[in-house]
Amino acid sequence: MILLVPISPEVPKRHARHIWPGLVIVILLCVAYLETSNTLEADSAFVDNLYSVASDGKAGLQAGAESYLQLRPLIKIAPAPSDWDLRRVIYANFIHGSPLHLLLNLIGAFAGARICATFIPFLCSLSIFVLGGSFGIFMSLILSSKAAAYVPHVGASGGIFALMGTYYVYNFRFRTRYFFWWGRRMISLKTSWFFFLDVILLELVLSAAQFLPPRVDNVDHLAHVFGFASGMFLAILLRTAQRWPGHLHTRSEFLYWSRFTTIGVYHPVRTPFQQWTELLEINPYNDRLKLKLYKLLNKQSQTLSDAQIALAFKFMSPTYIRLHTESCATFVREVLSKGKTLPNEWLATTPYDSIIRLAKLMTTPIEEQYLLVKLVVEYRKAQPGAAGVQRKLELLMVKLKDLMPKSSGAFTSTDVRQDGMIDIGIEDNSPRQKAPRSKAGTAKKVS
Amino acid sequence: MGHYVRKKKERQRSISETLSEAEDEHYLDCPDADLITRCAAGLLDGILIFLAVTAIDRMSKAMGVILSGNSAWSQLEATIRVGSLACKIMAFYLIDILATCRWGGSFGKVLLGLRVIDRQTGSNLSFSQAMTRELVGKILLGALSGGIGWALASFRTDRLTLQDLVGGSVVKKVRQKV
Repeated sequence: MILLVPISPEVPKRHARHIWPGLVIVILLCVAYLETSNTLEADSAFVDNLYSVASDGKAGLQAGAESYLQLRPLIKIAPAPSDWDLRRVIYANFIHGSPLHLLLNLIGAFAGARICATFIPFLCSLSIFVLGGSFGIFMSLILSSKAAAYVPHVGASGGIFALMGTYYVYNFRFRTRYFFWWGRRMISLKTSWFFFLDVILLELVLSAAQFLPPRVDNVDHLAHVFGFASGMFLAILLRTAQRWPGHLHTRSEFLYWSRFTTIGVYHPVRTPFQQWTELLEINPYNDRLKLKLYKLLNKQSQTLSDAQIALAFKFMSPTYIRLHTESCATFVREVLSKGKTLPNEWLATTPYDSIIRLAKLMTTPIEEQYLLVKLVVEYRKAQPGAAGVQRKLELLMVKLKDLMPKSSGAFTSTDVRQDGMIDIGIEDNSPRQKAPRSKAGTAKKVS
Repeated sequence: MGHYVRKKKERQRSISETLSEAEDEHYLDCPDADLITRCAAGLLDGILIFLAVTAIDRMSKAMGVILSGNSAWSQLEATIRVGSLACKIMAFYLIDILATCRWGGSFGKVLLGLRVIDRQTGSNLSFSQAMTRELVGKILLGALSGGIGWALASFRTDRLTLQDLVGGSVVKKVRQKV
């Protein structure tokens, strides 16, 4: 997993550049480590004295040493299954057993606090880190096997998983950017996919193994799972208290939404249109809001002005078309059926395959198939410079012309030139490719 | 002597088929995927397959610990091993072969904007093509040739690897920055 690292939710960079919350938690953990280093050294020396090396080379506890384990120096500040209190459970989040343990958790804590800062204030992140982590450690203390009665449970990983749970709650329906080391690429994936892979598949399986007598590793998977669950619970609680609507993604959007006031009289189309487009200006990656916007506009396309249509199309990106083709195709069909033109800027910047994708969904109903021809014609008009695309579109239009019923009105008699090509009123100097003609028969040698 | 063979009258294509054909032709026009991106996709697939195999292993190990006290343990152990192997093969099939036929590439390829298509038509590979490509070309010949199949792409101008030659496929970079 280290090759594929979640970097941030898929939001504009200005929403994801919160470094200081992560730094504060990192400093807190480092200071705590320095403070506890003397105790850790003393504990290490104490435990070493209790262990002896047997003749077979394996280290084991000396006879009668079990009872001395409860005198370990670390037990005074960290909880163990047979000796714990609430104060030590909270302290445990800030104590680490070794520099490597600290380093790994510093990376996790920094990333966790940073990605949560896109959604919640720092104090909330810190509270979730402490409460969630403490609950994870508490559950792990209760459920751990009695064989390790005086093994202290320390580390910030429960808190990190709590922050991870919070992140999943706030970003579950949206996408996450992953950094892939090979070739320094950014990959965008649905957050829910990795929820199932990362949490359900791995952590639950690993924590199930922790209940078994021969443990698979020394990692406290139970603290991870319960930390994650408590982080999710706290986040759901916070979200409910905030009355956070499901279609909002980042904190900036939420702040705008909570302070939005209607100027003048509320209008069922204009007011939400204004609010949603302004929210999309804040975060153009919010696909759920786009779905709502296009759903509203599909019902009210008659009342839209050209400027409003141009504004709505501004948010129809190639990625959105790829992921929500149905929503886009319905909106394009609605706009074209009302006799309005598609914005030239959108057509000029949209790739060819996105247009084909849209056209494929516009083949039904049959009586509205002429609209897909309209889309292709308008797209071709907006792409005068691209010779390769022009040739492909010309070929496609010739094929479509043969397939479209004459009564559909998709092509008027003036559109078709003498050479069989479609005239769309633009000069094209690129070498033309002839339309393929079906031959009645071909001669072929048969051996 | 040649015979005159009358060509069968082709069924008229629907608009939807014509558009799919246009899409396939567009894929054929896309640039060939470079070897580094293909290796990166392979690495992503490897991560996913590793995760799936690890999870299956852990589960079978846990089941082994729970059921080891059972009287019919020797029979159960064999069943668990066979089941675990079947699950691993199924994971490979889902991630690699089925994804290639259905979505035009394995998980890693789709993520990195690559598409495995038929070299002649530009459409997705058929099931038999995908099987030949992945099992014969990639695993069997790839193992026998010791990775030379992959290196072939760096010598050839059309950037085809051994599995592409065997499966009649080509890998294109279909998603690019706008």
